[in-house]
Amino acid sequence: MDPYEILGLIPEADDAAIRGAYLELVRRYPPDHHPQRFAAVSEAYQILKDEGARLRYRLFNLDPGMRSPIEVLQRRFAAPEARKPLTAEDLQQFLRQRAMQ
Amino acid sequence: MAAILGIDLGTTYSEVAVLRDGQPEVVPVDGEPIMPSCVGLDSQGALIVGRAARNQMALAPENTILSIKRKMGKNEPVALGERSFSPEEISALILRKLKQAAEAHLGEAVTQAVITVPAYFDDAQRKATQNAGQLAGLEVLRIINEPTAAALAYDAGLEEDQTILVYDLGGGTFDVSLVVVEKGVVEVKASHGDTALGGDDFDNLLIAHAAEVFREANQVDLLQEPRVRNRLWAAVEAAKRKLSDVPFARIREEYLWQDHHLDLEIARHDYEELIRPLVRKSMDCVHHCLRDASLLPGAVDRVILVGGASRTPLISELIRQEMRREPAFEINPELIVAMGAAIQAGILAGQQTRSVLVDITPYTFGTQALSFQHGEMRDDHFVPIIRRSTPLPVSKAEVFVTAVDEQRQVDVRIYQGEAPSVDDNIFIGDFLIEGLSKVPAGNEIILNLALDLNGVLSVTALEKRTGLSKTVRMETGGKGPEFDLQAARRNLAELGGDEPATDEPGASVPADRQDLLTRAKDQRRRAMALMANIDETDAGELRLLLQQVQDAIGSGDFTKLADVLTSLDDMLFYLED
Repeated sequence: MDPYEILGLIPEADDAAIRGAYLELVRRYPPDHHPQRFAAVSEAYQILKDEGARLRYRLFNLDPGMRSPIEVLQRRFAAPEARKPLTAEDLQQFLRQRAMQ
Repeated sequence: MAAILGIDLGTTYSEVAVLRDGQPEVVPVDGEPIMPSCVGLDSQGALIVGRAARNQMALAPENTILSIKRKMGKNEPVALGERSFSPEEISALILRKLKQAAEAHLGEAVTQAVITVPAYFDDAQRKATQNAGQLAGLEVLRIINEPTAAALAYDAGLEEDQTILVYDLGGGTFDVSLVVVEKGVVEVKASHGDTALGGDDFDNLLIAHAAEVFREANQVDLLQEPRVRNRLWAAVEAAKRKLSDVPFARIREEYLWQDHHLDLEIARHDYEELIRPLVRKSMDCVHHCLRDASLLPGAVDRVILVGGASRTPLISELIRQEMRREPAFEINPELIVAMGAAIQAGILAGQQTRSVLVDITPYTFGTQALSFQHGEMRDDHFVPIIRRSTPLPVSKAEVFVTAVDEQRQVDVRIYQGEAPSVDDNIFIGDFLIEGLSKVPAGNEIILNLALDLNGVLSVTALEKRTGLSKTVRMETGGKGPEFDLQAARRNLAELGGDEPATDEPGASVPADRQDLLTRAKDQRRRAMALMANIDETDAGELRLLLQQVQDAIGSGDFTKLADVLTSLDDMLFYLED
């Protein structure tokens, strides 16, 4: 499911809006009483929580937990069905960000 | 509605708290807020738990068990009297005593609890804690992490949003957690720790130091003799506490070995040099935790110190230096964890709605798979599935493929850790999926790992094309056989002490003993003061009586001790006059 949809956000949402929506939903669906709903909210938040995570999601539509770009690329090319076409611009931005780190 | 207990089951001390009118309240056990996590048998063979057991430690080390928490999750039975017990069973005795104290305090039966564990406890250690609770007659509603509990208790008195670093150094374990409190959500960002680092290790260093000084002076190795070692430990432990407040402490034990005394002054500075490598290790964990949370020390608003051993001044000093923050001690560091557990109990019961807790797994979980690296096939490749710092609960799946044609079975091996090779990670458990379809290599197997809110793992493997599946709640891993609740119950039942009625006389005997020991100490002091001013015959007689006192204490014969003390008292009375 689309993480933006889970958090009730538009794709242009910034860090503050994403964090705000996440905290609001955590209070509404605390893990003790709504474990499954919470897990979905928390996963969506992990995917969108900062610029780097959002970019990885946009590029590869993949789990944000992976830290090394090599790992991300390996998965991307190992996947039998490429989920999204890669644009040159996105890839450049991704590599630039990595180089800065 | 019956209360739910919040229990801090610590290495050296345990506490129990309940929520009353929204406020956590620590329940006294034997009149004290903290109870030594100590279990023993008295001279009649009756079970004693807590302070009474701790008091007999120096006299009957073979009948006393301390620091059982260090063995939780391991298949290492401990001996008590003539029988042997699992770590779960001993922990259950401690929990049962806390439960009884809470029931007496509340005037009603209690059946449910929230129990805390170090954040860095692994899967087997968490399960062992759950089993101990069950064995003590408690339904363990939740296992929560100690630093998280502390943050919850701390948050209860907090108005504004903050980033908090919890430094939790207990008797046997160390944890550090980075917690963000924002708009009523208490969110753990990262946790790190060491389940084998605690105040006990400080004691051991001091014991070794004192023994070395004694050995140089008297050519005797004190550490060979458990009874002497325990006396030394009690003396050293008291000196350690003193050093938190004053720059010098004296360790004095008369007749520690035959007629040799130990008299040693230790400066705080020297003590700090002894323990510095251990404290350094804890600070490295702090920095690791900050890195995991992608935060600089300056982003931390508060550092709170939890656990008795965190009172060590060197710790505050290093935190001031490296975090540039004055550490806070606003709530008693020994009680804050139990109070946080009580607050979590309140949240579960729906009484407390102020805070929502979001905790994480401090470990990465994954499996072993074949892989090609640099053109070479390797079979020790660790494939992470759930990454550390992921919020709980969580469930993640990963697809694997069979390596050979007509592969009919797969051995699924689960590990936790961060290393790229499984050999460097902790093995949690494995299971076999059999009866796979007879198809060429590449048969897809979906492996799903799930961590519940207690941080306990379950694993499902599924053959995609047929739906054939196998689900396993990882049991005690490679560490031993499955926990047998019924057998453990029988083992404890034979020990007795289940009814509070039988617990009472057990507890009262050591109180008398304590009395006798105090008298013995007092009289020895009076005798030593007289020694210089009396003639040789009297002095000889006095020495003889003192030796008899020593022997009686040594053999644990309290009837004899009472007699000797009476004669000694008469003699002192006559001499002092």
